[in-house]
Amino acid sequence: MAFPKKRALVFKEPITPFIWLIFLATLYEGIVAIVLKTNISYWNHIYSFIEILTVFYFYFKLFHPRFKTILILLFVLLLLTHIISFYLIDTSLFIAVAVNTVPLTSLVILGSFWWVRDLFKSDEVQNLWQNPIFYFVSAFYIYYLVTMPLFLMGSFIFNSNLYFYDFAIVNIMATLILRILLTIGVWKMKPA
Amino acid sequence: MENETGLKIFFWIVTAIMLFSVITVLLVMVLYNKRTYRMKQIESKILMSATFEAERMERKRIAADLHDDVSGDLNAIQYYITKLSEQKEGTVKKEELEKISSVLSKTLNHIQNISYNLMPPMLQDYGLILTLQSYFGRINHIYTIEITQEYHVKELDLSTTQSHELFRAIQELTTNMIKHGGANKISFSISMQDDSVFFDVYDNGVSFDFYQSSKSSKGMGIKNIISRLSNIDAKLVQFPVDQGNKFKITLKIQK
Repeated sequence: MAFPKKRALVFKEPITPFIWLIFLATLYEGIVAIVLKTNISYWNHIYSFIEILTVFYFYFKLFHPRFKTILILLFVLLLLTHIISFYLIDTSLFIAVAVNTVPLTSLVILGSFWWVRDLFKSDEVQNLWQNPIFYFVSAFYIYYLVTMPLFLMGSFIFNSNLYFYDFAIVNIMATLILRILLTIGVWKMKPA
Repeated sequence: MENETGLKIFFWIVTAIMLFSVITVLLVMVLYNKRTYRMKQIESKILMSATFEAERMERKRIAADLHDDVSGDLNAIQYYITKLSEQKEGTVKKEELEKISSVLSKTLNHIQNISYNLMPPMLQDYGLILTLQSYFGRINHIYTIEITQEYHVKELDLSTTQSHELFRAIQELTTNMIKHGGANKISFSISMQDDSVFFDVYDNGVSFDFYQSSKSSKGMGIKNIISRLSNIDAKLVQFPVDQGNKFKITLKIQK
């Protein structure tokens, strides 16, 4: 069974690094946060940094070689906000997450817009149901659009202690949609 | 209390964003599928009219071949025979009989050509590979062109319909390369991997965009190729090259 192992490690598809991140994060969070009950605030920061890299890689490879300048500028902005947010961890983890969320969501919205525009411009995709990129772009679009206001208001929601679980359910639903769409997308991917 | 109302409103805003994002995705899907369906309908209409046009042209060509060649030859034979019948018994000249024999062999040649153009007789008896070899031999004889052929398979297990459609598509493609592209070099190869057969055609003539040309009203031959290949579920892909054109036809063989 050497074939699937080899394929999984080759980043031929733009989504592969993000899928790996989700897989490793699920494992790590499951073991460290739930079983060992250790503080994961620094892990959250590492996760958000790798998340930036993988999401950026997805759109960069998806549109390559187009929009190179805009994407690189956005990447610089993402790195800057990430560095700023790193200094905010000790003040508030929620604020640190909020600072990171805005440019990443902007990248996702811009990327989704470009992709849909390209889709309608060219007639290359015959069946959208069978197109893995459609599932990945939709997954990112729904997840980041829904979670951005949640992360922006995270500190307020947490401190007010009101409707916390309702917001948590919205977050869980968004995560569930993300993972379901990613799973369908991977399922629709053709063998390398 | 103020916080509670604010959070309540915010909660509904977030829920609305979620619904909005999901509806947007669904809307993109519905609109795109609708558009694709409409385009496919238009495409199939164009292909159908291309098929009818090809059939009309074929009939016209056969009628012209029969009228100009065979009919002309038969008229000549009739003329010689009438002349012979008018002659007295025992005075028939050998020279006149030779004339009749020559016109008869010309007629036979013309009929063979018409028959070959309709459906090469080899196709059913000897298969696609030998027919293609014979075809390339013929065009090599007619035009001053260098044809390189590579056959990485000994024989192909194809139905008569598949062989015929593939032959006609390759014939149309190479004829276009010579007549419209002014190519003087063509390389052709057949290879096989797993359950797919690949037909690679490359020329050094004038480059053209196959799919753009298929959209124009002039590209009847190209539409004909698309129609023939879609009839047998084969796919044609054009590869960008510095000079000339490169095509790959892929056919999946069902075992």
